[in-house]
Amino acid sequence: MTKRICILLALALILTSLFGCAPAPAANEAPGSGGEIPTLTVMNWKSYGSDKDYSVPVFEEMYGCKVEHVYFNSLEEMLTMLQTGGFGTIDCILPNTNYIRRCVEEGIIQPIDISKLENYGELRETLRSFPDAYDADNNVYGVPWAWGTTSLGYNPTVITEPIDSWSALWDEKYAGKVAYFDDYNTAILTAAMYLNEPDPQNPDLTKVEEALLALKANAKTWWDSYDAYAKPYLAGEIVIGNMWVGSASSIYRSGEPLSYIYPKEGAVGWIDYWAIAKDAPNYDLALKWVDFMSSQQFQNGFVNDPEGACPANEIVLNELSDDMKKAFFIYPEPPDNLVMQAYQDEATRDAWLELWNRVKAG
Amino acid sequence: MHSKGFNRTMRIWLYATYFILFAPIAVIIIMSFNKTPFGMLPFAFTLEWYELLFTGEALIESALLSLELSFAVALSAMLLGTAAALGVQYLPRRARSLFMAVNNVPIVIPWLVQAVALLLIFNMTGLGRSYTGMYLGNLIVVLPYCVMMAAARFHEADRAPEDAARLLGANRFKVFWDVTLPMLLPGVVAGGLMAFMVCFNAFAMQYFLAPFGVNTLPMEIFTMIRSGYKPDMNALSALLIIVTLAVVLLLNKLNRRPNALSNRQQPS
Amino acid sequence: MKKALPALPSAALFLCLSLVPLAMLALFSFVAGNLSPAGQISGFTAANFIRAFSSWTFPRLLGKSVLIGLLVTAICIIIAYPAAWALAKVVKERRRSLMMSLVIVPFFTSQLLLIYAIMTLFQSKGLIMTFFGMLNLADPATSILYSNAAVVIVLVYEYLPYMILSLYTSLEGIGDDLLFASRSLGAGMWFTFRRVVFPMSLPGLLSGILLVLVPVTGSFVEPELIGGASGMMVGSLINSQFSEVLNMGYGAALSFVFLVALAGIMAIINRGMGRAAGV
Repeated sequence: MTKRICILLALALILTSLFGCAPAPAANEAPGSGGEIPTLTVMNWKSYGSDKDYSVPVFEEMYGCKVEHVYFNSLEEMLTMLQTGGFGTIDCILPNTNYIRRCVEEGIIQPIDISKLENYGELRETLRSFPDAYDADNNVYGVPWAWGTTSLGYNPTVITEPIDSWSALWDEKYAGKVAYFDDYNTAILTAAMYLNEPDPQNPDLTKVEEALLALKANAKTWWDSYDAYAKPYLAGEIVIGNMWVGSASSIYRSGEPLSYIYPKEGAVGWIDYWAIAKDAPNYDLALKWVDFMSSQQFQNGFVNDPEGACPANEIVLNELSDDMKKAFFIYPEPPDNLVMQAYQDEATRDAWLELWNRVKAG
Repeated sequence: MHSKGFNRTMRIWLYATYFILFAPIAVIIIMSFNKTPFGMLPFAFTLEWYELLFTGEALIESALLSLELSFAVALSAMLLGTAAALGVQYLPRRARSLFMAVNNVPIVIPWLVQAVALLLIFNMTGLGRSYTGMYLGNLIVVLPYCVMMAAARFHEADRAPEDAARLLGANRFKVFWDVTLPMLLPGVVAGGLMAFMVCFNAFAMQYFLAPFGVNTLPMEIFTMIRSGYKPDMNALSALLIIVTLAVVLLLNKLNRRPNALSNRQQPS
Repeated sequence: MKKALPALPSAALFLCLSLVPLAMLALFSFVAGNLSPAGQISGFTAANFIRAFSSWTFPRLLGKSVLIGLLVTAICIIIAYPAAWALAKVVKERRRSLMMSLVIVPFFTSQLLLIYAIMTLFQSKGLIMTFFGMLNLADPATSILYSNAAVVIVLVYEYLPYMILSLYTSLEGIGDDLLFASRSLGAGMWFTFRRVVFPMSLPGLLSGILLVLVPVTGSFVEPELIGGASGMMVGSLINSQFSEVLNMGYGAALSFVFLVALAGIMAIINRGMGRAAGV
């Protein structure tokens, strides 16, 4: 008996240690193991510009380095991954307007030396000047990369009457045909705009909750990804909803009927920033990456990518053909009454999430 | 319970169950040849998704990694789980129920919580995000399946043959090899299959424990849905399923020896 | 005691990798707010538990999720029992391992893709709705997607293999001689099932129930994808505390209550089943 135990134990141990020590599959050599070739580790959503063939190979060629991507499913998870062992490994992250101030305050990211960025001046002024990307000493923490809106989309072959207000989502005519973004921040901001709240960032939450509960009676589904919107939309199960401009773009470019409009009450806006993580192992290379991401070369590739987004580089923006501008729904430009997703303190985040969960569970 | 009509009904029920289990697979295979994404009509034949699959290597690479990981994890869990089921029956009754209760813990804790907790522990011990950590994390969540399946066989299995074999002078190893193991085998195999299935899909465990920059198949797919998965995923799935089916059928064919005793057993 | 040694490696693994996280979960649930990035704890409080029960959100979702879990488990048993019986007793022995492996073959792809495939089958103007439309049973332009019924269907599909394999493991162990004896003593089919088959299949049945009920009750991907506007389950609530805002303390407290509730339900089921089998 004892013998057998030994054999089994030994086998198990050998297996464990073998697998543990086995070299990673060839293509995934541990970061930085070579020594000579630096590896830049960046966090981003999957298939979002930076991991395409017009980005990684070009950058690797330019600077003789390797670029490793770490993907996340939500920005909160990006922070969690960073805080549980990411510091010292991760170089660049991609917070948006909702998160960047928080990253600054919690010391998750470090100042970016913009004097070393050649392309920073080409970035659209209004995007650069958004105050959340700066600290009290006017240090820059985030370089705008892409921007867009979360606004109202509908199927013009089904809805032929003109629509110019968020109230369409509450219209009983479209009961059971409405999709709404499953994100507490956007959900509450949008409802606040529908209610014409004076400050959508700080609305009357009781009224918002009532409005969202009324919306729920109309809603078919809460979406939280491109697929979750596109699938029922293309199958005809939903005809109207708030949606990412990126999803609208993809559907529009694939030739399917879709109208994406900016309601008179306003729409939600966001900016995605490149930022450099605290303790980034390759700070200088990270600067190069951020600079490359803002360059005309990259941003031109980005706009031609069917999964791309509206670029932050003013020159690239201005060179877009009218057809391309239409595909990004910036022809004409979005109105001025965009409500940016902005910083919230922990208590507000908690309260908003709890409200949204109450609505969904109610 | 052995009447012909009854058995036929049961057999038909089994085939109907297989039909249900495989119906979505058929959809995936058909969609992998369809030009229109999202499984829409009209159907237009294309091979472009297969081309796409083989030009970008990321998907295939992560699929291979997932297969390797699941295989290693399932195999270790089978060994450890069988050993545990063997050993635990000699424990006093109380200790045994305690062990089985602890066994269920990884199934009951939400994986997200377990993954984050493990990551914190691994960070403390200096292991951090690593292949070893990912292997251990996946092992701990599938091990209960193997222990449970093997133990379920012990619970009911008749121990007389083992005693008889021992009385007839067989040594312990021979008793184990010739009597105990065959008796346990269905449980061990069922546990191993489950372990494989769970590990192959254990997104949360791999998401938090894999080394940075390494992607398993579930990680690839879950991070892909924000921008929309492309039908090359269908092509990959179709290939995976067909290769798996081929392997399973081949193994079965190799197993079938000409003079197998089982020829005796007729459906009665 | 020496003979129990083979259980040692597993016990060690459970101790290090499973009980420690459990203890951490319990500890976190009493933490006020969050762990700081440095891992320091600011203080202890019972506020998380009070908050869990201060509104109807959590209890209601928990109740709903347990009901869906029980329903899915029951449907899985109904489908799997005859299938496992056929696998264990009707199918030729040399084919059994093949048939067993076939049960898991569909899962050699991602579960998410399987869900999408099922959605494609069930969506409006899809295969199934067109078929129902031809039989005049339903309007093919509608669908049952985005409802709790759709969640149940998908969950049954995903967890059926666990039930089949668990039941098979136990049913296979019932000797043909036993069944023959029961029959030749004049027992009817029902009596044989009640007194021989059911009690002997109990270990497999109970592990099957555990393996289906627990993950189904805690599921959140499926309800979010196809549950529609009122599809939310308790798993989504717990998950959102980790992936939408990081509120570890509250998330851990919710998980902890969820875990205790499940343990209670499993204890009741074990007891009831044991009694029904006369053990």
